[in-house]
Amino acid sequence: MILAHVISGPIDALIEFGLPVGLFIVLWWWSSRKERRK
Amino acid sequence: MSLLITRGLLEQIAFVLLGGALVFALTATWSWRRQRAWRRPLVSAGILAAIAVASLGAAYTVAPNLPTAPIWTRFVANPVAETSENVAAGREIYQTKCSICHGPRARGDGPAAVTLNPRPFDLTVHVPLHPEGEIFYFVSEGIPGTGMPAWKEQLTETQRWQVIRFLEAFVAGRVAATSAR
Repeated sequence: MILAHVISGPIDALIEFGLPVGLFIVLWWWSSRKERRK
Repeated sequence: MSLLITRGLLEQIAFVLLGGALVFALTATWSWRRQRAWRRPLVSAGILAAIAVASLGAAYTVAPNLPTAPIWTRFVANPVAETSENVAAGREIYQTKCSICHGPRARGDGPAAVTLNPRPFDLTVHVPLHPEGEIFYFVSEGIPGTGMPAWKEQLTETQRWQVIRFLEAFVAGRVAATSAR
């Protein structure tokens, strides 16, 4: 049974999609760092 | 405040993640062709793709399959002002087109409601919970798997927004459900 109810708005949307976008930014930063050569 | 993660929402998040994975995959390919560092972009693509797959997995197993409007609809505001003319016009449209299912007082108890499965939504509950843009989307496009039809062919954009103006004003107690007071 679903007890939660939808309270959806722009702030929720920013949280939900901010996380994937934030992850993308972190990975982009990590990818663009210089890799150590063996 | 609680957040309900629906199948549609997880699908949209997975779509965003897959877009990111594609960008990284293209970056990795580009770097590899130019003999630059390509491993980290490829790993990043893999991470995003894995989370996207996990999102889709959750979407089709544990997430409730409830009507979900596209994310951009949350940012759309009602362009129709709350004037007495617009509210009156919305009320007339509502009582003519919508009340047969949703009921004259928008409680989901119209004369046709008993014939519908699922029953029409109680708009006095749902209207305050959703952004205007989401309600407009549901009114315009209908809700698959329910008796809610798409009204975009029968009502103009302004008329649909007027209905929403009326419902907001009615649910907030600012106007009566019918013009006869």
